[in-house]
Amino acid sequence: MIKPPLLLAVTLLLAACGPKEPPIAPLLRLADVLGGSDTSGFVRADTPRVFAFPADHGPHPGFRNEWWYFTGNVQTAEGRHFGYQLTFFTAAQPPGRQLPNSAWASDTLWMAHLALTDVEGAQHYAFERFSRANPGLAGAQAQPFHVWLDDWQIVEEGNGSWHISAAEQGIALDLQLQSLKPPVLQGDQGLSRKSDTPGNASYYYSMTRLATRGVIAVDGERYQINGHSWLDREWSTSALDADQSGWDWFSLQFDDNTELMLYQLRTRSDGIDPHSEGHWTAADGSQSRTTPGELALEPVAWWTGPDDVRYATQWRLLRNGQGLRVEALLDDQFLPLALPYWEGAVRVINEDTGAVAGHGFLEMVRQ
Amino acid sequence: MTSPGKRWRLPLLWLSSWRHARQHPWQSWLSVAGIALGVMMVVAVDLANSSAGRAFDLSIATVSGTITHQISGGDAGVPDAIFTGLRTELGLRRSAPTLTAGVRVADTQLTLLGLDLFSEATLARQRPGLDSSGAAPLTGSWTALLQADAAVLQAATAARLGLAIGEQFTLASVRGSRLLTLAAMLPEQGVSGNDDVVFTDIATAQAVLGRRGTLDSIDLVLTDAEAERVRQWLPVNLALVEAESRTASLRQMTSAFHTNLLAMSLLALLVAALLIYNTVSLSVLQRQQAFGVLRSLGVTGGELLVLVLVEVALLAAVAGTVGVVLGSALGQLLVKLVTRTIDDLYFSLTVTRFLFDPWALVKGWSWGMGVSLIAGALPAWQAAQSRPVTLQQAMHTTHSLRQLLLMAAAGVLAVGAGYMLLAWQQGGLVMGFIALTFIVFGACFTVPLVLFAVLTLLLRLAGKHLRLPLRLGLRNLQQALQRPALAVAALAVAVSVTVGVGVMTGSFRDTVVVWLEQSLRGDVLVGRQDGGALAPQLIDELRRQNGVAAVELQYRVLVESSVGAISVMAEDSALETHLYIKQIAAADLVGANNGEGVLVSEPLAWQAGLTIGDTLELYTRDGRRNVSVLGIFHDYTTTGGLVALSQPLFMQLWPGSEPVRAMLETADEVDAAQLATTLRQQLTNQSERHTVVANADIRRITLTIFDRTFAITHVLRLLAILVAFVGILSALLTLQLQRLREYALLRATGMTGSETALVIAGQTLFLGLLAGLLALPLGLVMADVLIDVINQRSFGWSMQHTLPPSVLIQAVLLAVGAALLAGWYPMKRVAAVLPAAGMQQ
Repeated sequence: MIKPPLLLAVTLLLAACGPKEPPIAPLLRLADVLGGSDTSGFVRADTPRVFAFPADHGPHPGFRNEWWYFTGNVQTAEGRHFGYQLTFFTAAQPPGRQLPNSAWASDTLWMAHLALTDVEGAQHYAFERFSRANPGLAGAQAQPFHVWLDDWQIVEEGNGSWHISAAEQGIALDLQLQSLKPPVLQGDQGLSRKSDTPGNASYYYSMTRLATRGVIAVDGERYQINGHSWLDREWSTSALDADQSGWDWFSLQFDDNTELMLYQLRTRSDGIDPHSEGHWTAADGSQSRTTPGELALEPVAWWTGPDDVRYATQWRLLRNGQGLRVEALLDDQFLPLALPYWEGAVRVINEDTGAVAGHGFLEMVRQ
Repeated sequence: MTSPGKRWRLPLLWLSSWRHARQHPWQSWLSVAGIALGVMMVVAVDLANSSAGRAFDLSIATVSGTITHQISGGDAGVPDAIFTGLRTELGLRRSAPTLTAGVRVADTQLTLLGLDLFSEATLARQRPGLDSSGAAPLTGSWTALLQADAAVLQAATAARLGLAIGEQFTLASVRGSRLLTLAAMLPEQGVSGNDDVVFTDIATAQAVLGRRGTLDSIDLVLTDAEAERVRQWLPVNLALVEAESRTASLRQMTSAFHTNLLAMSLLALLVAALLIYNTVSLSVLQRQQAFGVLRSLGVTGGELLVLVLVEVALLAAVAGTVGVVLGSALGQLLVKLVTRTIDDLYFSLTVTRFLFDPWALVKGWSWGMGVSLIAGALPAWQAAQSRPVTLQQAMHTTHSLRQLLLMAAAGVLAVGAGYMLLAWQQGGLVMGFIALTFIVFGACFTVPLVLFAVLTLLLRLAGKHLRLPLRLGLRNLQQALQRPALAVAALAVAVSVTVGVGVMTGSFRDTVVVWLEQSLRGDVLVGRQDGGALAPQLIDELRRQNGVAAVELQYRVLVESSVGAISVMAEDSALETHLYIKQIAAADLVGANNGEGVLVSEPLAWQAGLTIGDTLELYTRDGRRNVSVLGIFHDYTTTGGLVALSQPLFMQLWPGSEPVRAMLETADEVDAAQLATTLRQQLTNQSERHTVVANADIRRITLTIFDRTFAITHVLRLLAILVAFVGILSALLTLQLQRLREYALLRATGMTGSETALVIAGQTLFLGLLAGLLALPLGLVMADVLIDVINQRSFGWSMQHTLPPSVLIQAVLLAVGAALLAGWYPMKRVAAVLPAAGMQQ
């Protein structure tokens, strides 16, 4: 879904990286950045386009923002459960600038987030990085697939699998990812409209099921893990309208080999924007669109974050008349970063049997 | 319990004090003046030092911050790719590129500092303004730096340049100029390290400076393990150095300079202490009778002790306050001198602002109070010893020879102890000063015996030939002894400082002149303004130039070495012709000219602990090369270590190097200044900017800087003399005025006013002459200590000893002049004394 925009983060960069605790209150209005007026010169997402892979795994210059968003639920053989997140965001400077004669000249700025939920240890770790693109400090390419910021990176290996490696302060990911399904184009053939305003939309696809194995380290302790990851890819120039104030986003992987992506955009009057929608992916890869209303999505329990926002950590929805509960594996999966938000691992419970029906990720962003 | 009597006793005591002070105002004023001058010097020097020290710290912090390591590659710089590798391969996040150079905006010199904001954030270094955790720290935003051709300035700098946010200005470097936009201003923050720094993005800086692809250095915060990984990974021509070692030697040098100044100011306070002792003991002496009466009325000795100490404390409090006020004013002047010296000698300071440090005022005031109380303690104790009604019984009017011998022996012991401390090599600078203090104090203790001996000898040998008033004067001195001895000691110490510092600076200056003669070859020097290599065709043109008889070339490269960044230099002539060699064996000189080893500069040898026979590791493009140290040469440039070697060895280590300087020898009939002017005009059409300067001008400029450096020592010397002058005036007044009664008696028995004045004139002349003569050996010892110990330990410089006779003659004249000037008022008073009135005193 729509992820924290980089320009905002850059503005907060210095405050966030000092020895002080990062500030909780965002200093810039999300809408200014995502749907702000300074979009001249950038390409807009206004009509459906033809997606081509692997080319579209790479960057899309001309748009203002783009991100690579890896999340996953993995566990050890003994059942110790971890949720992880590794995301890369870019924000392009307004086009048309004349860059100075230097290899450091960059018109793209990068931000990356690394988070780990250790369910058994009841700990959530979150880190962020910022960098300019040049000289070779951060970037993305399609073939071979490679996204990096310093030494946090995803790189394609010889057998076509992707290798994630990222480490910070004793937390480390060393994971192999192999896609089990073709890319899923979200919205209207990959064009995801966020409001009625033309161009307030993004190009959006997901890799909904990536078999994942490898090693996760917590405080130097290494755990061999297996599980599933999800990649969200989105690029856009502006997305939100002025009266939109945030969103709730779900990526759920069910044990019956189906997946659901679902988001609801929130309005300033605390309502649900009609552009909210979702997408089912069947076991065979076939897809169907849905909406939060169709699934009767409703929050049932809350947790109050350090920013004084109430985040819904338990939700209820109906799948073919079957009641499902989506609950956070840990209430506090708040990322106290330059741009603070709640994002964490969840599991899906069949309300009738009480059995676990799947896992996934939930993201809640408020302004 | 308070007895009824005690209630009226104390007010009575204070009243008697007050009345005494009213009757002898000059005594109080002189004490106040002496202490105030002493406190003024301590406060001023302390303020100047703390301002300069803070300026130094901030300048270092502005440029290097709180980093642990730095990667540098000398002149060649560090390729961009090294930074990328550090981040993406080694994953070392706490790293930042830097690029610094001198630039100009209109006629204002600024330091350009190119930085990458994202990297800066990882270092969390204490660059003012970069810590944005405070509320609204900036006008505009640092992120504005990310826009192309944007710059950030200190608000004061922007105001000086007449720039507002959004306005454009031309930033000029040696490589050309570029139009930048003022994107943000750092606010006024009291003291800030950014007075004259212009911040731009690293990309903009590379573009402005024409330095695409290279950085000056990379700043890092590393653990030991990480540092080891970096060392393994770096190409051989780059070095990882510990940040502290870079600033340590600079810090050592500047703190040595500060210690020198502080010691001088404390010396002034020492002279002031002698003055206080003198004043207080006089006032006790004058009130001996009154104290006797008070004692017989039941006042205890303890109460008298307190009374005198309170008087001293009141004087010191008033004087301290005056001194603090004067010191603050003088400090503002001194800080300019101090920072200019540091700027000239060691380090380009980006901050030269006066820092008002209240603590320095408190310290100076307390010094004055403490020294006064200590100096007043003995007379106060003497007051406490007053017996009830010891009428007319003079105190301390006689000194047994045994006492004098004992004092002198103690003095000799102190001098011996001082010399032993000097011999202790590990003692460092502070110990050097302590030793000097011992020597000075010891010398003071021998003064009474010397005075006694000289007077005795003089009276015995020439007594009969002297006119009566002169003989009388000398006898008076011999009888009083203690007070004249004190005056002689105070004046001798003050004058010896002028001798010591004078001989030291004179020797230093002579040494620098010799060094300049030796190291400046040819008559005209040509180099590029940015220090870059001279184009081969330019050298050809110079050789063909009319009026040029010969061209010698100098090669220079800044490289990393096992002892940090150093300059390596070679010229196409034998080493001994362009170096002022301090130490080398004849065989080694042949070897050095044959490329078998190198010579190191004296400060480098001192800082790095190198001696002849040691090995030095130099980083060359082809790896690290060990060279042996064959000799040491004098160098007073202080721009860091310097290594000289033969040109063939230089070419072998740095093949393909181009010369950076050409030294032109003029043909016989050609004027060097004229040739320089001609060349300057010719070279304006070159793409690079060049410096053409006649060597005579270099000598002149160097000596100007040298003289400027020592300007502050002249100021302090004069002040020390002023304190001594106040001291000798006080001592003479004391001496004469306590004898007013005797003068009146002399007048009554027929002596004229001018004859009594002659008594005093003879005394002051004698005292001044003696003080001046005693100041000579003491001053020469002081000069030796300053040259061989203090300067060695401060800066690693050795120098020749020269003895300018003018300094010695001046010293004696100074002492005699000060004494006569100080004697003028007592002479007038005594000559005017009426026999009857004086007798009644």
